[in-house]
Amino acid sequence: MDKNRVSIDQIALLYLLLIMGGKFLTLPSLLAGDVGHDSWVSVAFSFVWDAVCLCFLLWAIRINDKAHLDISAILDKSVSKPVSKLLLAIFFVVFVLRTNVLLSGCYKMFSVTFDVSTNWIVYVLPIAALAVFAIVKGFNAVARTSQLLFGLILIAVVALFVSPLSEAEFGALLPIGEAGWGNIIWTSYSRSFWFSDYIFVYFVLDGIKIKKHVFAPVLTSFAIGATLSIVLNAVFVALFGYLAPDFDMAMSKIGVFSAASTTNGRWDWLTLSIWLLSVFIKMIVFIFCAYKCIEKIFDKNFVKVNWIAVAFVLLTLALPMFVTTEQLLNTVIKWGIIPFTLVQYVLPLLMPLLTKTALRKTEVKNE
Amino acid sequence: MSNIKRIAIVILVVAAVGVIAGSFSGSDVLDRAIILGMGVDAAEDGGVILTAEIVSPGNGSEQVGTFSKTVTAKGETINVAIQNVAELTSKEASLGQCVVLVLGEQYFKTVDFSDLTEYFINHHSFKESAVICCCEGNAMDLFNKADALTQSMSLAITTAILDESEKIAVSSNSLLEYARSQYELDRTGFLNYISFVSSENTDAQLPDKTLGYIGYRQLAVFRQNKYVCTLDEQLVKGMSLFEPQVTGETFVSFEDTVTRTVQVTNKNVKLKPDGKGGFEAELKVTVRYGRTDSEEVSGALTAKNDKEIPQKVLDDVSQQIRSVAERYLAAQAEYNFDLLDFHEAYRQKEGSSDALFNKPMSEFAVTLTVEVQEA
Repeated sequence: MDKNRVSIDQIALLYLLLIMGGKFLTLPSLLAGDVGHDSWVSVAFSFVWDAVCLCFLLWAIRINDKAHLDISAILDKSVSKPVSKLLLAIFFVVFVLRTNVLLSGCYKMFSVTFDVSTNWIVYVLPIAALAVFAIVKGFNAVARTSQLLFGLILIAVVALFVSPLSEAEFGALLPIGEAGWGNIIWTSYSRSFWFSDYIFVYFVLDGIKIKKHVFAPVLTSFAIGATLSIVLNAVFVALFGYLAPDFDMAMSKIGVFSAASTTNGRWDWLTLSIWLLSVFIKMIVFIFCAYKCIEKIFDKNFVKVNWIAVAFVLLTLALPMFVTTEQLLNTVIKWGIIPFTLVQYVLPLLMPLLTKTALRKTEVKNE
Repeated sequence: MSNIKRIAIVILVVAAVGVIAGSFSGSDVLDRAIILGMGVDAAEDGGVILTAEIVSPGNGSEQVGTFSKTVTAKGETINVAIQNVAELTSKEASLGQCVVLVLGEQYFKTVDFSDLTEYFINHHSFKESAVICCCEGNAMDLFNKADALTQSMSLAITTAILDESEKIAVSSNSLLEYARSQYELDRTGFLNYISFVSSENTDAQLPDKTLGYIGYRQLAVFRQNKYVCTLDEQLVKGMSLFEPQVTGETFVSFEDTVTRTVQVTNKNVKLKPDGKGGFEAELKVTVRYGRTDSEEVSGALTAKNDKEIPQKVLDDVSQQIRSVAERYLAAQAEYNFDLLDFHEAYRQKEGSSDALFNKPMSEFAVTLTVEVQEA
């Protein structure tokens, strides 16, 4: 059995975990700094773009149902090999940067919330070990893990943001659009780096099993994930108001409202720890995809794991030892937004067309 | 896979887990001074005196839980004072379980404590949901009266302010709410103003023991972390009338030779901008005879009673409510503080502007309507 084979339902669950995994670390405070109490509107806009692109990507999956072409084959045959490699290189940079931003966020989350500190290498080691395990065992292992943990993580997320609801002043979200609609839309674009979590799907295109429905399960997951993210952002801003930009660890701070009195202890620590599993899964998925990028850039369909490629990917996780997240955000990510848009938003829109072209060329070749 | 390989992998994994676990420099709970509550007083030389109520597990015969000890340390800043507490206890001060922060009278009345608010609101461990309040006299003296309450002072204050205050018509505040009030809009907010009230000791076996309770029927108002004024019991009652979640206000009506006490059990408060720069305030109050039995249960969804309060009494209570509410509104205008979010209501309607933020309270004319009905 192909170890990278996953069902569309597994993709849907994993996608939901990925949506919840990365958006509750530093993003809410960054958005609050950009557009104040309208940050949730900005998040909503980002999800609108995501929804459109996701529909096109799912359409491409449907087209690719029988042929099971991988992303490299589709791009090679439709837009030529050099362009294909360029796009895969951009993908690689996106995955590495996103993993590193998540790693830094988690590192801070640990020291802030649990008051433990360690050196970067020791902190990264277990995550790297899990990522290697995923690469060796195949994507199916990650998908099965997320299936197993999905319910727990969802309950933890809901528990974390339900508890402060009574403290939040939702009137503070009014008037909607005070930051200016242009500003809100621009923010939603300039912070798009944190969105379009569906990009992992490109790298499992050749292993997706479709039983009946393609759109329904994934779009349902997307709707739940998007709603939770928007609500959490709204709760965050309604709770912290003008102080929101100063609270760069959203989930850690929202959680304390579930521990308002001593009789409750700090059970927010428990729910927070469970939620962090989704961040780990997200990092592992992105490391897996970064490895796949190298595999496809160098035209190798490794039968066994290529340890040089693995070592190279893992080496990139040392980036935060040399550059701070803020430096990354203000340089590479700020200027890289245009090439990133290419793979995050333009490519999905073209995917049905590119897949059809690739299929046509494959059929012609076979004939 | 051969057995040797399997054993090698197991050894490798065990070694890796050992290295990783050993490298996380968390500290043992026994090495921690877990601070339950803190009191801050002004030092004569300009610094702060910090009194911390500490639960420190593992001290041999020392009991853990509601039994705790207080440690007082001085410092130029709050951070230095906390470090000095750590030095005095030889343990790392842990603020993650701290539930209350009390500011002593001399401190909050004479010092601009913006630094202190900023320190705690930005502190990673300190919970934003913790209670912050101020007290009559020294915070240190207050914390040292825990014996009189026969329980932890921090927990007693927290229970009073978090759980009980709303039932006796006193609004309460958390650190986050207070900090926000000092940075947003007109930058005024309040803290619960508590005091230790001595009570008579009738215990023949321990005649010298001080007994008492925490009084918390006053509020202190602050603008940008500077003291503005104190709201007495009547003004607090007036303020609470405008807060739907706060109930329990009592009113006494004298009718001929009969004295009747009624208690507010439910409220419907509408406080909305009138479009002319002022407010329309509508108070629909539901009352019952004051009782301490199960009939006292309040809320919007309680069972109806047979009507028993005479209309004359209801009219009298309505008049009293109007009087108390108007007195509070006059105090708001006089001292120029906004605890009912007048500025916020206009911000939600018109958006943020300096003109709005700087608008004095005296320019918000309020048209008040009061309606009292029996539950």
